[in-house]
Amino acid sequence: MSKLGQAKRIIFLKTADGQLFEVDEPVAMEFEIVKSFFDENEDAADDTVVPLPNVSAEPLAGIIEFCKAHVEFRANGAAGKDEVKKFNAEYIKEKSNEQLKELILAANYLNIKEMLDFLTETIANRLKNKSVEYVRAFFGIENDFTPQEEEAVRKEYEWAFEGVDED
Amino acid sequence: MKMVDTVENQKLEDGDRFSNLPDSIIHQIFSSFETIDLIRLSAVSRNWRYLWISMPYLNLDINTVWSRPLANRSFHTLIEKFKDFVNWVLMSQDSSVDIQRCRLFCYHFAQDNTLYRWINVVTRRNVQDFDLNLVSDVPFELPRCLITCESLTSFKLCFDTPRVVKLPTFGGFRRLKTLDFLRVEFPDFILLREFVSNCTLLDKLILEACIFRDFEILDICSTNLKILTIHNNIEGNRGEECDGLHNCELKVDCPNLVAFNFLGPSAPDYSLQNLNCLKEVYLHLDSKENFPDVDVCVYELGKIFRGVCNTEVLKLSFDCMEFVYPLALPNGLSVSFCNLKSLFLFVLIEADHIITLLNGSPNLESLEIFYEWYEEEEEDYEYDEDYYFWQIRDRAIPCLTYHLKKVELINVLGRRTELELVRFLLKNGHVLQKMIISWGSGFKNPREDVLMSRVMTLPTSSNVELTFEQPD
Repeated sequence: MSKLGQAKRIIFLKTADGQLFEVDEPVAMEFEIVKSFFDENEDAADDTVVPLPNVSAEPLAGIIEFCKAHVEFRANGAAGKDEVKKFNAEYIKEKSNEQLKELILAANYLNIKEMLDFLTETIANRLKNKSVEYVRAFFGIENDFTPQEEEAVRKEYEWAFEGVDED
Repeated sequence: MKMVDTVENQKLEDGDRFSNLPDSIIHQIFSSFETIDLIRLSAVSRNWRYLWISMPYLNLDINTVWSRPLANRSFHTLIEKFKDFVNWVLMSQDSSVDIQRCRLFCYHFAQDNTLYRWINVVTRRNVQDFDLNLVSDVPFELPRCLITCESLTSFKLCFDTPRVVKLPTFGGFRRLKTLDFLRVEFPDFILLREFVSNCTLLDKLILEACIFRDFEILDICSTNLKILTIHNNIEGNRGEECDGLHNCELKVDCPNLVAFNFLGPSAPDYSLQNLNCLKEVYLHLDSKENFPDVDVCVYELGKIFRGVCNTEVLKLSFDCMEFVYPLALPNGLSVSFCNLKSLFLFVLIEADHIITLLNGSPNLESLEIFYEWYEEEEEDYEYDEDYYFWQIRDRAIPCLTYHLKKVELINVLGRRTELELVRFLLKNGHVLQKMIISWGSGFKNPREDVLMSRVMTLPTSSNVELTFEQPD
């Protein structure tokens, strides 16, 4: 609850697909890119719209949800406690690999360290002990080796291909 | 809209958009991967062919490098194959890439300098964070190149079973901030003291399940140290004699120490000096081998409490009753924590000592109590309830009158002792704003709602918000 006379400042963010987001200041300041925008433009008007040309609405909504929760956790002294882990697990449970990719790209562009750490760890857990084919599919990477080249690489590191999980 | 078009075009053209992330993020994703798994990913695409070569994180572990390490291989072959592997990785990687973190788990034998050679390579590649796990049959000497390494900020040394570490006599780590020794034996207390105080930038020191053989004093004296953890009650210590500090005084002289964690059997004496910056203390005292008399406990506990009396947060847990009694006795031990804002207590059985601690903490704002009832009590529930029932005499306690705002009781089973504390706090807490009661998961009492309504009707001295929580 905000105290009387201390109206919460709202930051306006505009995504690549033209959507306007109204975000509470402490949440928006989690985004390093927004923070430095205001640091550099100290006299920016309160209703300045910060353009985010590399982020679309869907991942931004997800990021705001995450940062808002974490700002609150910190304010309540709950950082590092079980409820944070619970929230994180719940948050990531429903996300597809495609959505994860969009989130990490956006979090990288917006430069949010806490979220980036969490997302990279989540992706790592999804990729642990998976096959080369799985990793290709996950990242949407085209195999640009010729069959002979790929064979040669696999042969060179033959000993590394023991005991890989089925996808 | 024009902006939309660009984004969509980008998506169409750029199927590999994800792997075009900055290297630092790709590296971060794979930072926890075994190096061998990353080598396997060389077959993903041409771009990925050399990903592992510039990887600033190394994870080399003889136990996991092959999925079935000992299948069809003798122990000797395994050791030799692992050596070949590590040598090959260190030789093939781009040596101009600084190593951010290296985790190495390996065997170390007498007359074999392989490990020291690897450490040399890693330090020349400006390693920042080095985590070394050893199975060793000989003492390990901290090599000079590691001590003098200008890039090293974090070092952890862990033995499978305790082994002696030979500390250098010429000084401490140059730039080290975090030092963690697990299952390390120290032969000489003067050398350890000198070494720690010579690590001039050290922020954080952790000594876990270490052996301080024939030490008179464990003497930690450091101007910069902010976090100190001495942890001697680690389970699964393979029967090795981690004797904690049974026979050795603990001396801590760290003017900048912020957090102090001491877990294990209590030491026979303490000299805790200059701990004026202390904010957080966690004490967990284990049973001693010989049941000490009350006077000894009063002495030891008094020494610790006086040493850490400036702390703002105190977490207190006793694995034995010996240390609870002196706190519960009317003239047992007087304590005074003038700066204490937050107290977290693990409570075993009766709880007279809670009142002693509240009395000694005039500025306390938050109290959390975790009930650790013994399992076996369940059967004799009714008997125990009467046996351990205690009544608290109503009286004014400064922190209850002026400061205590929040109380949380966790793992409450609805016993009379617990309810008596609730009653006392509600009656005497004049500024209490919030009380949370979390029922324990062993709570099978059908009178739960009866208990709740009983609590709700207890007289209160403040406008307190009562919350009841079910176990997770």
